Amino acid sequence: MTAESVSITIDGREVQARAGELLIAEAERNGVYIPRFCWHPRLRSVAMCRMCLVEIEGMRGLQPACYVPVKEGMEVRTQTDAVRKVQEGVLEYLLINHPLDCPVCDRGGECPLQDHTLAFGPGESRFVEDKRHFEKPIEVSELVLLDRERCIQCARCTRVAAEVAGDALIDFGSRGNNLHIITFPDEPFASYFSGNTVQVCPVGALTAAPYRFRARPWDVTAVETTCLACSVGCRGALYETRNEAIRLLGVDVDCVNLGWLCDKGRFGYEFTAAEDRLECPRMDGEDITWGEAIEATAIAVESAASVAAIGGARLTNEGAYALSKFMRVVAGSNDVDCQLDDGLPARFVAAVQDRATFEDIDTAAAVVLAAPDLKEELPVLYLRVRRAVLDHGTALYVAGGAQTGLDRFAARIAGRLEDLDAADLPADGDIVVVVGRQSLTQDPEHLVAWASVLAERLGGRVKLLPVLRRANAHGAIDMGLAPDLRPGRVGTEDPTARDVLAATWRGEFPTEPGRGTREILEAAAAGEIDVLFLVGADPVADFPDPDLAREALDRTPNVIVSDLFETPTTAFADVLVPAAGWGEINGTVTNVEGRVQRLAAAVVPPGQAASDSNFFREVAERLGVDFGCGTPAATLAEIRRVVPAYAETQPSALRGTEGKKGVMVGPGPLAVEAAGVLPAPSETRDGALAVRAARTLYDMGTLVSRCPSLAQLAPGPVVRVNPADAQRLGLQDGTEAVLRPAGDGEAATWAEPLRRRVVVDAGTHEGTVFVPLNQGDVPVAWPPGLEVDVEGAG
Amino acid sequence: MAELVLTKRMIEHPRDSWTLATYEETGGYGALRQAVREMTPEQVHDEVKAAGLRGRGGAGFPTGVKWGFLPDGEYPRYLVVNGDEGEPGTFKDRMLMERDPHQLVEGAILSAYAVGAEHVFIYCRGELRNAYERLCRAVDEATEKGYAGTNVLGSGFDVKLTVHRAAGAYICGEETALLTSLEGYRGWPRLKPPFPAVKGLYAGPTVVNNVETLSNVPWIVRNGGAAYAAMGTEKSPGTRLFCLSGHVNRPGNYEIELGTPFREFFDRWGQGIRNGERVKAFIPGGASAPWLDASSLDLPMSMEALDSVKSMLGSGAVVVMDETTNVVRPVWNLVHFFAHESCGQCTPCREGTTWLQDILARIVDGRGRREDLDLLLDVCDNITPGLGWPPAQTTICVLAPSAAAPIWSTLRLFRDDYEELLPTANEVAAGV
Repeated sequence: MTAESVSITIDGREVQARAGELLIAEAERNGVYIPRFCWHPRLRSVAMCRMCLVEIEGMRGLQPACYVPVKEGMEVRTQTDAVRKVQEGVLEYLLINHPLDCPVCDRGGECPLQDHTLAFGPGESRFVEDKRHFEKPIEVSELVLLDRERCIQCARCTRVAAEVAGDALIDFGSRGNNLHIITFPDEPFASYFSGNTVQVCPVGALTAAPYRFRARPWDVTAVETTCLACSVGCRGALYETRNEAIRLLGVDVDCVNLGWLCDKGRFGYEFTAAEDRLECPRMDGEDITWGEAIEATAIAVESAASVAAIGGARLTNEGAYALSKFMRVVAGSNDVDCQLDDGLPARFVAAVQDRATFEDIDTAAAVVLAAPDLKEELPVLYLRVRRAVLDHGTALYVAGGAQTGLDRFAARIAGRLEDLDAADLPADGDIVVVVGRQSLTQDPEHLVAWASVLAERLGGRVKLLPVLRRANAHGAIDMGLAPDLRPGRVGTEDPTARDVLAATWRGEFPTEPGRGTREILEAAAAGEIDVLFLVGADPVADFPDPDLAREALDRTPNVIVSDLFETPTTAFADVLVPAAGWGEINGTVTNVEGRVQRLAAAVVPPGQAASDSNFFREVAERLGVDFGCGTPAATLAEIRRVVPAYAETQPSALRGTEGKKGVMVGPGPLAVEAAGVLPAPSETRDGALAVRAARTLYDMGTLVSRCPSLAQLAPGPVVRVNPADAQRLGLQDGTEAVLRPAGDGEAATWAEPLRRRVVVDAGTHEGTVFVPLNQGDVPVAWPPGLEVDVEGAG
Repeated sequence: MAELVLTKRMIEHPRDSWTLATYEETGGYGALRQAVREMTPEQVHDEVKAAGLRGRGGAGFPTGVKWGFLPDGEYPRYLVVNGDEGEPGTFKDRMLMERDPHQLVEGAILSAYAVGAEHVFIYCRGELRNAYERLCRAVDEATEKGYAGTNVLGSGFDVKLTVHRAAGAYICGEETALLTSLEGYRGWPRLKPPFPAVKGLYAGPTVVNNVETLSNVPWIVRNGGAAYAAMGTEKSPGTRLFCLSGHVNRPGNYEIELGTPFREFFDRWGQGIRNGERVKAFIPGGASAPWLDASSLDLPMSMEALDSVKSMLGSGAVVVMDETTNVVRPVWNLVHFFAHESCGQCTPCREGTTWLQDILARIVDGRGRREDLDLLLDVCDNITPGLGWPPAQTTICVLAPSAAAPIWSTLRLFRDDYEELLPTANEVAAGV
């Protein structure tokens, strides 16, 4: 999509511009800044503030540069007396009712209104009347506060809410001089994207509750980094003051996040300052030194016949690589898995050759979502798909039973995967198929088999995007944190890759595929695992069979846990080491597309918390292995050597303007093999309801519950039921329901039935219930195909 | 004296001019019958062009030319009747809607026929309940009688009419705000282009015409465009309904031939100035028009004559003030109106009109400062650069320049009135 280049004249200088693009943007590209308040490159023009008025030859009067498209030969004047007079006039108008409380305003020092006043303003005001007054601040949501006196009525926030997020929950009320932002009565601005309104506000009218009054711009330093709240990998600038992370702002990168963040990402930094961070290594509950922890771990590993590791999806690529190398070279085991049996088969993820990028979604003829609700699990990807559907006319297909925030825009919703076939999709154009685990009860093998068949039928037009939710899960898989993979998306059996590795990894390493999380835990429960590493993993809460997890941990003699906080799992730890996390360590991460981006430290980790790489290196060295990986940079250099797909990830490629795009990882040697004929889906038992057990954006998980701003936002223990089912079962909204596995317990047995509050919700498909996970009640097992009987508690 | 085009029926049948029976007895719907049976839509359009009819809502744009802006071959098209009359001093459309609703309905159907619109929306000011109810009834009756609906009078022409009762915001009389409001959104003026003719109601080609404009159409079709053009002046043909108010002895709505001098209008129709006073100032065409003084009394009431003195006939509201008047208070009153009715979208209007109102209020209250007079002019200048006519604007619509016009025009003609209200040096010193 390259626009035609045209010549225009700005202030007497001839420049090249893209035909049809807005004058304000093209002028800026050519170094002429036309002042503006309401215009934002990611929002539709409204031309309300009138700050960008310029003279255009042949057009009567002054024209808003944010509304006029560029044409060949256009002659523009931005510096004439008439233009300057209007700029002074608009600024004077904007300031007459502005409280001018800059000394106590969060925006002071980084305020477009201040900056424009200095550059384009009249110097002093002639206004002697009373200013307009409003009660302030108003809480428009739990996260965002509104000062209506500072507001300059630019409609940026309302457009972000309506156009970008689709949550038109704030709007203007009243009119004229009394125009002000309102929410609907008794309806807060409950949007997953509310923080973006604060970021785009050109004054201090909207402030984020966690940042309000915390710092001034001259007290903070920022690093550019990558958000790890999910695997989208949004670019952000993390701000720090006095060794405390206090703010994350979205950085606008076309190909990644378009400048947006979800609120979970934006406010997720709060965990770094949580009071109950693990700060000291522990053994059997007693504080010990790092030396003692390393010694104990080394002895355990040295004498073990069987070592396994679960986790690593929260690590950087460097950390994941160190864990992968440690397990193979030091522990001699392929029993590693970064997933908790809650994602996709790693081998499938690694084998996708034509992987879709986010930008492919922009130009696709159709997008198929056979994935979890992106709004809940990969929110900023949801924004991009939404934009494609609404602005680019991309056809949307939803398959597999997940209700999604985009259902109402779908050309077709197929309740079961099998109900959507290649013939249902547009005959021309590229098709992006997003594949992800929609529920813990969904059989992932079936999902990827369906995806492989669909891909084969669509041929070269299809691009797959396998999505795993957890932070750096994709990077961890690339680093070989899967039982049948090595670093570089290659199988453990691949002899070529083994030779490449062998040059760097001195020593022996196993070639037979290892065991995944479920098999590891089963072996552990049978007493067959001597040492189990849990790296940022909490199987007791997150593995779909918590009883098995507990039994496994109970029976394993050496459970070595690295984490940020105490979790239900850390109670089983023999050695517990405090990890340094996001915001505290440098490195790289790889997003869901395979885009490698930089992660930067802004604060020092608390107490003795240290990176996982350090821990594994120290243990290795203690066992006499020359491990390398002394710094993130050294580790990345080693990754470049042994992982051909990462060869381009030089530090220089990840920095600067070009580096904002990151580096795309090339495909590995594996390929997706079509599964042939799909198994027929099973029929639901009479009266029972199929269960969708999946994440919501906010839950009571380890990190979210440590972010004061987010902890309050979890929906709590609810079950969503379709109105028809609710009526049939006599369930009222707000009452308690009792859920029990249906049938004779062949699928699952729960010690106690699940008791949850009913939310009657037309978006939930009939014949299913949606159970948000991690909502504070006791975790239960979610085997594939689980169905439940539901009844009222009364 | 020319024939009465608009008000003949209501003058001759004061008790029941608005009923279908009276309308039909006095030749009503004859033009429609004639048009759909004997004329092509182009011929109807041509008659309106030949009549030289100009819009009666304010801008005075030639109606036939406006209809010609609709892009060829794009359907559905809409005709929207602007009945949101709400400017201070204006009460003519109300009378046409209340007293002769069928004339408007017939004019609207004829115009829809001419432009190929399948749906007519009559946007009626919310406060005018009587007008709204009579329009609804007229539309129902016309539809029942086959003048509207499917297959109008057996011609194969279909047109549906919908009367919409507005919510009372003056800004919704601005045509793009009207369309936005009609679509169910906040009544904010739209950025142009696209113009309504290209993308108007529901993004379809749309003609927006004033009530009085369309009420002329049955007469034009019946009598021919040439007969209409024979009245009035060359550039302002026909008659117009003027709303005369202020210090005249007999205020009211008067249909007069265009080109009649103001002095004659005030003396003959208004029966002179109260208490035998002389005219000091008058507003020639609605609250948005720059004011004139007694030196303009012999000006003919035509659009071109008003152009020559940098004012306008606008919405047809003529307000007369005698020599006992200090103009500042009525100016404040108008500016207060515009500030109150600003939609708030554009900064200069949202902030500027209220600021102007506050300064004027202070002056009226005896708390003015000498520098306020230049300040008023400069605040106006930032709304309408150059303070000229037709007004330049820094805003999306012309509401804000309309608020400025009474100020800068009176500061030029009647600056003494402002100075008279400023406190004397002694009063300032004493803090009175």
